[in-house]
Amino acid sequence: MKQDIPPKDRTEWAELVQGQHKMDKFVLQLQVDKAQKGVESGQMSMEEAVDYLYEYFAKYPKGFVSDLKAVFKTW
Amino acid sequence: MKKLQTVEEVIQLIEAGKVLSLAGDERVLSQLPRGQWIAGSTPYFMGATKGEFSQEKVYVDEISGDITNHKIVTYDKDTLPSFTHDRFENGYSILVIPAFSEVHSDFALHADGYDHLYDNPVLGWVSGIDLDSSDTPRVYDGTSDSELTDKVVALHVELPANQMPQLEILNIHKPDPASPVIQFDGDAFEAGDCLIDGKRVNFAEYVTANNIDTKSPLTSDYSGAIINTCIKEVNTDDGKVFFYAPVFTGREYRFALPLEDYAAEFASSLPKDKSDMQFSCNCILNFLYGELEGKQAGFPGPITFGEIGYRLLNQTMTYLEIVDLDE
Repeated sequence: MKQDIPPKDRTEWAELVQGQHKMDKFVLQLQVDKAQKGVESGQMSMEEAVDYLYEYFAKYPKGFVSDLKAVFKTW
Repeated sequence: MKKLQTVEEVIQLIEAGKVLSLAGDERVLSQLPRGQWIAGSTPYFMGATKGEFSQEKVYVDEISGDITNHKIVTYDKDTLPSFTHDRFENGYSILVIPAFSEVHSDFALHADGYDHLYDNPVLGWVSGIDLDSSDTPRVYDGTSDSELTDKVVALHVELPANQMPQLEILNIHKPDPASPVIQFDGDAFEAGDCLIDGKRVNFAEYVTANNIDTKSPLTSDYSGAIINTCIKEVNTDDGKVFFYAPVFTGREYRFALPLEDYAAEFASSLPKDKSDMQFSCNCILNFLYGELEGKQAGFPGPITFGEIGYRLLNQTMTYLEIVDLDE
């Protein structure tokens, strides 16, 4: 649920897309890579890439909380 | 539960209505009755204590645990991209794909673009053969007693809402910091010319001239996940290098560091407290290059001609954990 993850306007979401943070879980590494490559190739805008990651994390907030905390610390 | 079983023992499990993911030589799998099982052909296994070659035993993963539902579906090249729509809301899917088939290459090239691919774990493996035989890789749908060489069989599993499946990989191969950066022009299982540190060269000539050890894979960093692409053949006459998985344009590749002792590398890299894996498998190239027959290396599972961790992987061990979200 969206209240369980950091708000979309936090700058760390864009930093994730830019490859500034490494994820621990395999599926998150693949998802961040997909967003990053999407922006690099012009297939996604930065806003679309942030939306893509945000919606994915929102589906599984409990399962991905350790990766979120590593990047966002608190929210 | 022991993982390598006799045909008679597996028949008992099937007749008891167990949901099973199986691996074995085609001669034993063809003896199994109808039931709730999928399978792929391979006579190579990592058993509880050592790597084994067997054309008599069947590797068994019993899926029955806490699952709330399941379904077994087969897909051809045209229907495979829609397999994600058949999954349960909370669960995972095991795919078994016959090696060297059109669905194998199609999945390898296009899986990343499938709708909602990453919503639930997609694991599985590419079936193979005894390398000293002229057999054809096969997959099996136990519900219809079908033996297939050109289709994918999938077992979709549903879990209770408080359980989350997590697919992880163990890749003992690391990028060599001294490697040049290699970039390819297209998405393909073969490459002619490429860019090496920005200079256009023929990849087959480069690999040959520089005595590159082709037992070590190419690696690419997917935001922290190191994904391997293994070299199948270097043909300087045609100026082509052939791979066991595709290389992709827009990615940077590096050669992996050579490994001296695969078994020791696995032993030191295995995650701790992971003895209750739902599923795991490992690559035939690790088995062969690491001479793992008779050695313990990694978790029990079939030795495969490719691994599936959402996408096609090479020379990588995959495993599935079920996390209890209430704890």
